[in-house]
Amino acid sequence: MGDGMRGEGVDDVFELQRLLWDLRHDASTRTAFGRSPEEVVDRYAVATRARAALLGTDVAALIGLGANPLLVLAAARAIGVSRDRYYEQLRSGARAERADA
Amino acid sequence: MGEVVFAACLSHAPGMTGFAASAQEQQLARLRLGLASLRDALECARPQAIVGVSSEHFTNFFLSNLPAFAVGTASGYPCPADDALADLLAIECHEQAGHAALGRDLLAYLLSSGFDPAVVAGSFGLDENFAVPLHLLAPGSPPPLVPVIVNAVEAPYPSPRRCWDLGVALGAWLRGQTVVDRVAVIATGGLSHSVGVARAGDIDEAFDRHVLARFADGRAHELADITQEDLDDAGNGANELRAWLTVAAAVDGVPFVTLAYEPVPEWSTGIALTQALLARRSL
Repeated sequence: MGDGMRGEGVDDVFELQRLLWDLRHDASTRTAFGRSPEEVVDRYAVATRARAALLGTDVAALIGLGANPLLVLAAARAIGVSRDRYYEQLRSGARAERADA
Repeated sequence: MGEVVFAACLSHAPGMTGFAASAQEQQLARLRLGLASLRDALECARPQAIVGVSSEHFTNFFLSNLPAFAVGTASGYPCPADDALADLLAIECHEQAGHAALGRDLLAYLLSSGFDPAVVAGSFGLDENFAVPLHLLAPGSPPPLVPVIVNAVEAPYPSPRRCWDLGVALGAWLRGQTVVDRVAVIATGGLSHSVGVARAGDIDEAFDRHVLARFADGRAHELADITQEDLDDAGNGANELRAWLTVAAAVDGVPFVTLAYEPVPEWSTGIALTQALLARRSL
């Protein structure tokens, strides 16, 4: 699982994961995210890349930034991303990353 | 003095209840046979409580406070924790009874034995960790539970050796406690699987069979020295082997019979069902 010490800095990864946690556990955060993702993401001290990944529901990027995959999966499920879609997106992201390397 | 009347280690993959029919028919049939055997054995053992060792998947704990070990002392646990999990696991939300007195006794024992588990006195919902195994092993009326949580979701983890040592202490307490006469102890999780990552669906059958062989031979203690690298190679979910080690140690590393093992790609998990060959004082 994630090591909590990667990505853009400890605080950024923690904040990113705090938002993922809130999406999974807090209905008002989920509702607000559905209405205005930007407004919700702005409540958290996340850096540019994390913000872009959150707004694009880019699960591969979120994991690449150091978010725990369990938190990413749970948050994605909570905002309506199906299991199949999640893994499809993850694998296409990973393929794109390899192609870029 | 208490007696351990049943001990088992088994998987808790959400697919086992949530989307069971997606597995291949023959695999499902073999797993059903294994589950029926475990279910019968548990029923015959007539435990007054179940001490369950497993991980927790960010259902309650978060990175703001993530204990290495925790012991439940509540009198009840939402099971599954919420509607989202109920949908995922296809298990109706209900209250799983907890054995508060037994939990408190275990907590006190561990705190006096060199371990410092967090206390979970309430507001703690079960996820697949216990909802799936209890639904399958004791549908309708499981005995009250004492959950023991081992961090297997976020590094740094308690070492496998530390988990084994926790199990040694757990076993000493199980045999010495006077709260109830008959206790079942189960570990849930594993075996190899990856969750939330691109390699989800990969199952390391060689790893799984290595683990099962050690358990079958009464040599589970050898796995206490397994490296984090080896666990990582078997997938992030293989970290749940820690729970198995704790329970194996609690029953003195006796051999475990493998009742079923099936690598089920549809559930993204090497599914294993094992039962300890306990030296019982009575039938």
